[in-house]
Amino acid sequence: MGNRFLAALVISTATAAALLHSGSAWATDTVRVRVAEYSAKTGPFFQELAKKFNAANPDIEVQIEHLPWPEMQQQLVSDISAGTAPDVSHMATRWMAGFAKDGALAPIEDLMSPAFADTFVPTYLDLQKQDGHTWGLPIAASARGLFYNKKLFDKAGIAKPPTTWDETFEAAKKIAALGDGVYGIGVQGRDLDTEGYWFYSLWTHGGSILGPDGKSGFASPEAVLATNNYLRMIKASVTQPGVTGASREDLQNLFAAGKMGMVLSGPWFNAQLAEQGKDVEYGISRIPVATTEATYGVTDTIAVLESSKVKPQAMKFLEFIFNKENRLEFGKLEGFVPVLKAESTEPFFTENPKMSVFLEMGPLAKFAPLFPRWEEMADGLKTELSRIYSGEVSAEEGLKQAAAKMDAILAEDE
Amino acid sequence: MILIAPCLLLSVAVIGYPIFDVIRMSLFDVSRTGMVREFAGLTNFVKAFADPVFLQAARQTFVWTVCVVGGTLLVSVPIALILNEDFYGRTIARTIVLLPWAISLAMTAVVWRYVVNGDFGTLNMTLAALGLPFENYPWLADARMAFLIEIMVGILVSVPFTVTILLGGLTSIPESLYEASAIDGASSTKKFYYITMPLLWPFMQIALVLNVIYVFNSFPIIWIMTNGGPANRTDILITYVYKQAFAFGKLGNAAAGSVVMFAMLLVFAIVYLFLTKAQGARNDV
Repeated sequence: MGNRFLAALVISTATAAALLHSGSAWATDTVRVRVAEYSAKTGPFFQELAKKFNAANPDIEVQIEHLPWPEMQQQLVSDISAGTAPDVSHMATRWMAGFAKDGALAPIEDLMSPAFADTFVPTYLDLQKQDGHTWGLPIAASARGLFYNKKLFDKAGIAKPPTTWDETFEAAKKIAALGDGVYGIGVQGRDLDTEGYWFYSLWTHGGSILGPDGKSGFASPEAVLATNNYLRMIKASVTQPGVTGASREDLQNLFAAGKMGMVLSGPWFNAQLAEQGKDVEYGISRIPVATTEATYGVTDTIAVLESSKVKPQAMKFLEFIFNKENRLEFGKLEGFVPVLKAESTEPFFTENPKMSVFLEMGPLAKFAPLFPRWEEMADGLKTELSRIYSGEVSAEEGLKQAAAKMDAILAEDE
Repeated sequence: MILIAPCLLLSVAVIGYPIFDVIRMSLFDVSRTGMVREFAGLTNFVKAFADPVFLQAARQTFVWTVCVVGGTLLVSVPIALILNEDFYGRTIARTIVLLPWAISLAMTAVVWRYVVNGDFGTLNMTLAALGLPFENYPWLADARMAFLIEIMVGILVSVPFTVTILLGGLTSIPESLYEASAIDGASSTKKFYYITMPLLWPFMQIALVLNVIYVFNSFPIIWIMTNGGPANRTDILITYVYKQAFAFGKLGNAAAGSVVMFAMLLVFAIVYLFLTKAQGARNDV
């Protein structure tokens, strides 16, 4: 808690300094925009955009602040409570529901120019809407796919990437049998997105996060099947050892080192492979299926804060960064799925085998629900998955606990 | 009094305000953005104590603190005794022992996380080179092993501070006592038990209490190495509180947890004051 106070103190001092600094040009409206870094290039990219925008709009001065992702949430919470929040902030879409509910965000549907909303792919913009308001814009969108190592597939005599989970299991067995410290398939068990890794299996087994009765679907028969799908791979030792100690980065590092046959990941992984996995020849195919084809869609949001005194100016900048040219540049830089209709037809996405799968799977994407307390529910699930993967409890038992926790939170919030 | 009043006022403001704010938040319903809503009485505390993870974290905090502080003292006393001897290269040895202090906790934790990484870590590389079957042993996947490693890292980073205090203590023991006992024919074991230990004891008490306060609240090692996982098995109260506040947006619950921690530490702080006061009195005699 002392931390929060300190952070507030530092920020307020910085703001005071910034205010004094901008005093010389008091006729302009300053718009503070905070972005999270997807890569080292994110900050400079937005700074460059701000420079262009400021030059074209002498009455507005956009200032870009960029932070690493892991600090975003804590920083934003501290700043909002200290009254020093930026005018525009980037955030994970799943935090948006909570912030919107607490009145920290400004609805933007009336701030947008008339035709602007229509330029978006509806799936992604709809995800930013709740209770009849639009709370932000989808600054990044991704779908997930199966990355597979072509060389390992050749060595193991597997002709084509698996399309079903059974085929995946067989392929993983063959690759693991190659020995030499090579693992068949990665299963994630800790940190960011552990639940996401489980959703791939859940949705493709026909399960859902929220059941038709409005209660948790974590303990449904489909969910148990989906969990046992990973469990059989863990038990057969075709995954990396120590699933509960492996984060998304750990899996990606193993794949990039050529030590893993298959891993489920998103388009950003292309960028990492281009730098660290130059020797790895890989392909990307659709997420394996048991009964239903699906992928995990995730968006990030950029929103205008309710405390902002320059909302129209902030919106003007947002419309600028979401024009086709700027979005395309951003998409190419960071490797995200197009969120604008105009972007979707670009050859960069449609003709690039490393991007097209994600584009194709876009319409099949399912999303995590926008509950204000989703993080807590996901954390409960993560804990139980960890217990299940380590063999401490059965899938039925663990999932029942996770579902009970989710239902308790749902009931509490009503 | 008038002269120290501004100082006092400043300390009260700087130290007192956060404490006041946390206590206030713990008694109210607080939104995730820190907006204080209606008075909630003890609801936040009741919720915290009803959360099995909170109780589990509290138990683990106890284990963590006892093991790290106990381990630190066990390791530090011999190190301090050795460093107190006059030997060639003592200055270098002292510097090396103090080095972990100069590196930020977070950095130490990051480095150790890499060291124990199953596939790319230097630990497994070394063990495998020695012919042991640890090519890809995932050290952090098992909660017990992960906690043990974290405790060892905790000990490593607490040693420099403790050694410094103990060295100070050892220097304050007059050489004449040892000379006198040598004339009486005391063995070195006896010298240790009847001269060194009793005279070092007050310093060990201080090292103990201060370490308890630091270790109890130590965040970076656990947060970076395991994030409290697997399955909350390495969560301690401070990581629990942090998750409540910044991942779940439950600032009220987090504040209640902090107040409980504050109360526990207050007890230790009082013990410390009591110890140092008693010591001062003894010196006066």
